[in-house]
Amino acid sequence: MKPSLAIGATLTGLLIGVALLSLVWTPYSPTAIDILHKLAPPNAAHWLGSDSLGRDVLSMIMAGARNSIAVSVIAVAVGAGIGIPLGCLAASRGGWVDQAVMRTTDLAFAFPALLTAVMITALAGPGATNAMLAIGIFNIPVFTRVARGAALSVLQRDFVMAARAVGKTGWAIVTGDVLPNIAAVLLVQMTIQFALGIIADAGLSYVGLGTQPPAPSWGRMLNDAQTYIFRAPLLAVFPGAAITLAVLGLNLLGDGLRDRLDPRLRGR
Amino acid sequence: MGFDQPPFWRYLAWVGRFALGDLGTSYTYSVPVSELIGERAGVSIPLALMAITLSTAIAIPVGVAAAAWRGRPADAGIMGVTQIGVAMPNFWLGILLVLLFSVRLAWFPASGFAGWGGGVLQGLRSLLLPALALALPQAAILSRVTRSAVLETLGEDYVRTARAKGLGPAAALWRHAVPNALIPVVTILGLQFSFLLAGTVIIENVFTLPGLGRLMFQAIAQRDLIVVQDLVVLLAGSVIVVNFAVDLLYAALDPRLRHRGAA
Repeated sequence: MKPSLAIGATLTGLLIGVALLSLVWTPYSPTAIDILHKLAPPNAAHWLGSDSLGRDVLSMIMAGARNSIAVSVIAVAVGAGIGIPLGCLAASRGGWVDQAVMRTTDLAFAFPALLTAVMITALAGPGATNAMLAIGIFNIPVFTRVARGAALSVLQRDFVMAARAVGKTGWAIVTGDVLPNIAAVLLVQMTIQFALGIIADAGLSYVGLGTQPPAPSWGRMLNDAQTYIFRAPLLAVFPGAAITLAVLGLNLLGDGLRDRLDPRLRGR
Repeated sequence: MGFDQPPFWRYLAWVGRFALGDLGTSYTYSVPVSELIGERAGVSIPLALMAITLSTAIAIPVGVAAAAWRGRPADAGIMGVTQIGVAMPNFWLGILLVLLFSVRLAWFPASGFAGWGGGVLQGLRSLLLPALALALPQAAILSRVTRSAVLETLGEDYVRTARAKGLGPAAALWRHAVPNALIPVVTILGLQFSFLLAGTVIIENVFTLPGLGRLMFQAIAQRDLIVVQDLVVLLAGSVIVVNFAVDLLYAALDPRLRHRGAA
């Protein structure tokens, strides 16, 4: 195994492990306020210190992982669930269907994704659900393009012609012959969009449009920490480090999977 | 406001006025939106330009160096650092820069904008940290692209020919390999522009800069929809204009593309 794949898999495993662990155990309740011990530096009782309301930072980061994962996973599911069928449809039908789908994705790409997510959540009301949808909507054209491109190249292969020759048509070819052959490419894209989703979710909750308090979120923690940057600078370090490690792990995992699944890139 | 008219007609009227430069009047500020946007653009556009300049100035030498040192520890080190740079959210990097340069060293202001009234240097000084926060993650992506593009051209026959006729490795690299590697670099640079615009929105909030991003947030919070609408159209429009400019730039970078249309 290449080191990048190993590091990526370890970091991603850690992220998911911490999120799962936070469901059953965190050192303290992530919402428990303890005003007497506010803004404490890291110590034996609070390993990563406590925030402006005396909440335990480690517990908040653990619970924040869960929220971050939930938002990005659902955003990827929305994007992949709609984008992949659209891309396959465009590739297998061709003609005006293809044109219509692809020009619509071109249009969607003209709007800066995060900016429009900001607008959607601001107008539809802030909150985790709308953040998922807003990020998910911008995953749709990405998956449409990737699925279409990959499907087009598979559709020209001999085994698809053979499937046609034995009488298979339309969706039977797409689901039976095309999808299994483009699954690897799509899986890699999912890890990339997963990583982008974590950054986007952090950005949205940083500006107050994502997960709402008291549910802890990494972006929100950074926003709170900025107020106390002169008194407790470390508060601004830990949540950001959590975001960076999570995204780094997913990116490395995606790179590693691509190298492993695509034989043409092996040995580069 | 024409609320008695059918929606389609109101839409056409709005498009017509927009095309003539009349962006309407802000509901909350009661001043023309064009005035508001013009004022705030004086912060956002210099910020975006500084960020693009910094990211290009950092990424191209770094990427070329990594390609030239391919497989050596320096290359591995550069690639490791860029991998972390790609993973960092720019607003966190902004906070870290504030921690280092404003809280520890007190070299730069932690937030706010001095304005252009106090001289260009004063203005640039308050934009430097936000521009760096925007530029570094972009530079990380761009230098990875530069590295792989230069590696590709370094393997071409014309580079070997250049070396065979006696050109030194540095000259072959900068005269032959790098110029031919610029097309993918410019493509990514163009694509990054739209990320940069969105990034500006959040970074302006980190540093409380009175730019278009903050205007957007204030307008959304106050339901000043005409401002939101105009801003979104302008930003999407500028993405399209930049993509078009990138297409034109291809022709300048690659003479082969200039003749394809004419022939």
